[in-house]
Amino acid sequence: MKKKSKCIDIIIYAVLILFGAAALFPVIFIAASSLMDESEVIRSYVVGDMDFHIIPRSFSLNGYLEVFLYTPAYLMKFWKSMLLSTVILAGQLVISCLGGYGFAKFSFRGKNVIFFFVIILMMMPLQVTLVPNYIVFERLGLIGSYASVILPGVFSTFGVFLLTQFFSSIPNSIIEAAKLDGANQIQILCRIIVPYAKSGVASLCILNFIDTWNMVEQPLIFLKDSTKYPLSVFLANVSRENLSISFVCGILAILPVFLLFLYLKDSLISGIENTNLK
Amino acid sequence: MNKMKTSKLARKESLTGFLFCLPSIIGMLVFFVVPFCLCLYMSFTESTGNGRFMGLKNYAEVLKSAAFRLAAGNTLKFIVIAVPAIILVSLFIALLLYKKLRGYHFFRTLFVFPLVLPTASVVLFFQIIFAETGLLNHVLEFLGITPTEWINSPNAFYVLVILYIWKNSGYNIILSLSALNAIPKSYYEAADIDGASKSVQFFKITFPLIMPYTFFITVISIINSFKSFREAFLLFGSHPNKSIYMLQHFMNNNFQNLNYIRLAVGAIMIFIAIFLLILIMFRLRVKSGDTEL
Amino acid sequence: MRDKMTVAKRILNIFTVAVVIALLSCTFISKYVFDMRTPVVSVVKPASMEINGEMYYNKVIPKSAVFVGSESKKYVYVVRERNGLFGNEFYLVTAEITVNAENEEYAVMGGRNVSGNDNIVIQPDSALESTDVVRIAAE
Repeated sequence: MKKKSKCIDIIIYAVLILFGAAALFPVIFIAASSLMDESEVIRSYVVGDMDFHIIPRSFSLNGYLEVFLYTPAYLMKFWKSMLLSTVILAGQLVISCLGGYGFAKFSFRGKNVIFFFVIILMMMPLQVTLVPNYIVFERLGLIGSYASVILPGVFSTFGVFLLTQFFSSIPNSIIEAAKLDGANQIQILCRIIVPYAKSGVASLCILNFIDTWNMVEQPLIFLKDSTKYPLSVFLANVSRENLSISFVCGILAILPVFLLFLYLKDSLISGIENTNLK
Repeated sequence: MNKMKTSKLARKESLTGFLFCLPSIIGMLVFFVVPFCLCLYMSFTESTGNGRFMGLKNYAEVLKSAAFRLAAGNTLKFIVIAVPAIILVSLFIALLLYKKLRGYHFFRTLFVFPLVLPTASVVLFFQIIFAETGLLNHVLEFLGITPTEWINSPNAFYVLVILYIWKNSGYNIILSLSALNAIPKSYYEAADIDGASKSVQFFKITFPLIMPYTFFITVISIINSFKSFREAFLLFGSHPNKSIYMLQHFMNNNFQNLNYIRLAVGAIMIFIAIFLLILIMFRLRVKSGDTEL
Repeated sequence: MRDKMTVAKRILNIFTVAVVIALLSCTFISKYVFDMRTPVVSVVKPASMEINGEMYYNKVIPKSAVFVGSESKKYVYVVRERNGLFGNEFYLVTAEITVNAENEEYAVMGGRNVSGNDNIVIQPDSALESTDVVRIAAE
C-alpha cells in the first residue's frame, strides 16, 4: 500500500514539475537569449530557419551594455514607467483604504446598491470602460496627457472591493477598544485597520502594480505620442526593430515585477483568494 | 432620550462611513458611471453627430455588420472552448497539489508566476515557438506529424487558447485550491471508513461541494478571457486571422477610425452581456444557499 | 528550516538593493557614456551665393564639408532625421557629390544626392562613419 502511494507521489511530482517548467520556460528562454550575441540572434531567429536553442552559443553581454550603459533612453523610459505605476498605486491605495473602511465597517443608505455597482464595474472588461473614458477625456481635452491613464487607474474599483473584503474580517472589538481610548476615525484607519490588514494592503499593492506595469491597451488608446508609451508597450515596438535588444528589454521589464513578486507572493495569493465572492 | 441619542450617533456613524466612501464613489461616478450614461446616450444618436435620436437603429446596424458578427462569434467560441479547458486544467493541477506534498508552496507560487509577467516580453517567446520554422513545428516534424502554419492561419485560435491557459491557470489554481480546501476533511475520512474508493469520493464528495465555487470561477474565467486581447494584439496585430478576430479587436479597430457610435454601441452590448452573466452568477449563488454579500 | 528562510530573505533584500543601486547608477553613467560616444557635429544648409562671378542657388557649401573618399570621389555627410525608438534621432548619410565650382572657402556641389534643404556637416571628424547617430551642435 505504501509503495503504491509513493509511486503515485512520484507521478504527481513529475506532472507538477512538467507544468512548472512550462510556466517558467518562457522567462528562462528570454533570459538566456538576452545573453546571446546579436549575430547569433539574427542567425537563429530572424532569418530563415529558426534554430531554437536555450544555451547561448556565443555568450556576450553586448545587449546589456547597449541597454544599460550606452543608451540612457531605455533606463529613462524604465523610470518613467515606474513613476507612472507608482503614482497610480499611491492614488489607488489612498482611495481604496478610505473606501474599503467605509464599505466594510459602516452602513449607510444605499450602501449595498453602491457596492453592487463597485462589483459590476470591477468585473467589466477593459473595452467597456475604455470607450466611455475616451469619450469623456476627449471632451475634456485630456487625450495625450498622462492624466488620462492615471485617473481611471486611480479610481478603479478593484482596490475598494479587495480592501473591503480584507477589512471586513477585522474584529469589531479592536475598533471598539480604540474608540473607547478616544481615537477618531482617521486614527483608527491609520493605526489599527491598515496595520492589521497589512497583507490585504500588500496584495493590493502588488496586484495593482502588476496591472499598471503591464498595461498595454490604455496607453495605446489614450496616449497618442509614441514616446510617452510606458515600458510595456515600448517592448512591443522594440521587438520589431531589434530582436536581440528586445530580449534585454524584456528582462528589464520583468525585473521589477519579479522582485515585487518574490517579496509579496504570499500577499498576492491571499489577494486572489479574497476576490472570491464565495 | 437614550433612543434619540443612539440614533443621532448612528446617523453620525453612517455619515462618517459615507464620507469615507465618498472619494471612491465620486471617482466611480465621474470616470465610469457618468461617461457610461453618456455612452449610452450616444449609442442612440445619429452617426453624423447631430444628436438626433435614432432609436435602436444603431444597434440593428451593428448587429447586422459582418465584422461584429464575426467578432461576437469568435469571442463566444473562444469562451466556450477556453474557459472549460482552463477550468479542467486548473482543477487537475489543484487536485494534484491538494495532497500537500512537500513542494506545495513552491509549486503554488510557481504556477502563479506567469500572471505577473509583462505580456510583451513573453510574446517574443511565443512568436518564436509558433513561427513557421519555430520550435513547435520542429518538434512535430521530429514526431512525424506534418508541421502547419500557426500564426497566420485558423490555428491561431489554438495558439491563443494555449496562451490564455498558460497565463491564467495560476489564478484559477489558487481559486480551485481554496475551493477544495473548504471541504472538511471529515467527509473524506467518513467515506474512507465506509470503504468508498477514491474516484467515488471524488464524484460524490468533491465534485458537488465545489459546485458553488465553480460558478464563480467560471464567471471570473470568462471575464479574464476578455483580457486575452492583449496577447492576441501583441502576437497577431490589429487585424489578425479571421478565426481570432474577437469583439475586442472590433472595438480597437473602431478606435482607430474614431467611429464613436459603433464603439458606444459595442461597449453597451458587451456591458449588457457581462451584466447578465453576473446577474446569473448572483442568482445561482443565492440559490445554492450561500450567505448574502 | 527557519534559518533557511531568513537567509533567503536576506539574500533577496541584498539582491534588490543591489539591483536598485545598479539601475540608478547605470542611468547616470549611461548619460555620460552616451554623451561621450555620440559625436557632435555642426551643420549648415547649402547657401546661395556668388562664386567666381556666377550665382549659384542652394548649392554652396563650405569647402571643409567636402572630403575625398575611395576612388578619389568627393563626399559630404548629410544629417537626416528619422523616427527612432525614442522619437527623432539624427544619423549620417554619406552622399557623393561633384564639385562644379569653387573658391578658397566655398564649393558648389552638384549631383542628385544632396538637396538644397539638407543639413551638411562641416569639418567632419575623420572618425565619423555613415549611419552614425549624431547630435547636432547648438548654434
